Amino acid sequence: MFEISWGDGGRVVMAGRFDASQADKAEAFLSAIQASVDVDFHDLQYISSLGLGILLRTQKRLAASGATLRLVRVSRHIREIFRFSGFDRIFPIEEEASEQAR
Amino acid sequence: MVDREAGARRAFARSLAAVSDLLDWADRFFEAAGIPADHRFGIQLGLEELFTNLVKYGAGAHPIEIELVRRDSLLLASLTDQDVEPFDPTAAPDADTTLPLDARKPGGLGLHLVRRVVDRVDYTYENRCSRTTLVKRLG
Repeated sequence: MFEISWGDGGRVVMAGRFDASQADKAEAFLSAIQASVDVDFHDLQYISSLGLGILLRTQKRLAASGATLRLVRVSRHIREIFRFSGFDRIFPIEEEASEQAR
Repeated sequence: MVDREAGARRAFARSLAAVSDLLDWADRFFEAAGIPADHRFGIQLGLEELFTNLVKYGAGAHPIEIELVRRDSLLLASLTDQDVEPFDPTAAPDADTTLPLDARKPGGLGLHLVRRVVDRVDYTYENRCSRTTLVKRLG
């Protein structure tokens, strides 16, 4: 299961497993975003290259107007996928507070 | 006590919509075979990336057979595609991850990631049958 929705404080919240079968749902939601926003990854368990591609397209579109997606509460294994992809150069990333302390 | 050897095999339709079923099925196998949570993510990501590659770019007409095996401290996942031309995913180039935002393009990352989240990727082609096997060491 994968959910993308508006959470507290104007954050976007992603939860569950963002696999290839969820592309349309994520694309539809993200294409409506026009300004800088935090994306809460706390409950995101999984992301594949397809999800990374959708996030990249969104970041490119926002960058044209000086806006940006910032990823917050990112778990260690998802952070690793962003690093392997070189996407840690493209997205500001804030790790889970509990993992920063380790 | 978990068996030292456990396995499951199933064929999946060539469709991106089948990815959800594939990963649910893998989750159930991991539970039954006692695969630690830390080791599941890499094999699932590998399965999805290789499966979607075959769906998007492979010219095969048959369902794709997936086999999961736990043998002692190894977890193996293989994808078999019958009656196709060869495509060796181990020969695909890595993505250039140093490019800035405006030069990055979506796509081309799948196999790049697979090589980094599993311990080994093997490819064989025989009798027009293409088989990729992912190996993850447990522990």
